[in-house]
Amino acid sequence: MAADEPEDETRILPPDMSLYNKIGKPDMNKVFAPEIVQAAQQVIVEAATTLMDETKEALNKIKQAQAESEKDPQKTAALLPVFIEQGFFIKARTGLSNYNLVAEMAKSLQIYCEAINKENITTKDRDIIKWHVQSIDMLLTKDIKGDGGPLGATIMDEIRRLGSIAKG
Amino acid sequence: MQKSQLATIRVLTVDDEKTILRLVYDVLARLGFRDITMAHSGRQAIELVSKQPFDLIISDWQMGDLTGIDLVEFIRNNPACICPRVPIIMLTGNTEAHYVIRARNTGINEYLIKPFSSEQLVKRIRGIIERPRPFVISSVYKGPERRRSDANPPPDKPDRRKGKKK
Repeated sequence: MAADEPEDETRILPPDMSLYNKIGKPDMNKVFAPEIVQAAQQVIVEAATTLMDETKEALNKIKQAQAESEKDPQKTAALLPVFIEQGFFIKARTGLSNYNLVAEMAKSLQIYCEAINKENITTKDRDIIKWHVQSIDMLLTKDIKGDGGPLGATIMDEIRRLGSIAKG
Repeated sequence: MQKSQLATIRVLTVDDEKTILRLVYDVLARLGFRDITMAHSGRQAIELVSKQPFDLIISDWQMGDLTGIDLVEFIRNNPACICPRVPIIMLTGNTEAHYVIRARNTGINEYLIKPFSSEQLVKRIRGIIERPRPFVISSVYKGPERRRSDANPPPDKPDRRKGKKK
């Protein structure tokens, strides 16, 4: 190290207890009593209706984009942001509403579309996008919550397999 | 209803999706928080942390203008921020390990994956209040010590290392 070069000084400041002190050093088991935490969880459960309405709107957007892509494959690259954004949107909402399999599917759609080579979108790429959209639609129509059990695992395995084939 | 001791904690929640932002607000309010500020974008959050201090920030990652990571970088590194050590919870749908690592290396305190439950949120908030970690300031990193340990047990729990026979 050159003489005039400052040495990298790492400082480690002690844990800051000011937040704990600020609220009067309470018994945290009382502050966050089980009934309080449960009441807060109820807020999440009750929000599910709104979240699902918004999810359906997002689903319509990706269904429309998918139909456009099928009609004119040249448009697919320009439509990728719709799949990515709405996929993320659906993932966030369905995940909060206990539609975990839909959330997984939407995440898979988002990741797949982010990884696509925009200069060379193949028929297989478009098929996989279509598969995702149809699966999300089917799962929501049939109101399949949670991870979908063995059927859900099979669907996800198939989606992942198709994804890895397409990526080569 | 008795006023919660959390009422004086100044919380900033950041999300560009109004429904999620409102949901986080409502969950925090039900837990007993009363001083909650909502920011609808990363840019708005940066303006806020440049003007007023907060005790806790809960931020989304993916936002339209500036990301949650941009916000964390600003808070930890920009002198314009008046609360550079504020605890930050990253609330995100990004589950892959590389996202978690990036967030930790940027200086977040806790990572919470959507879908979240109130119990998971409480666990992280309790960790921040009861077991704050040392804060590292170096040329390459500013943020809570990334290695977790029992070095700082909750205030109401005895330090297990004390009195331990060698």
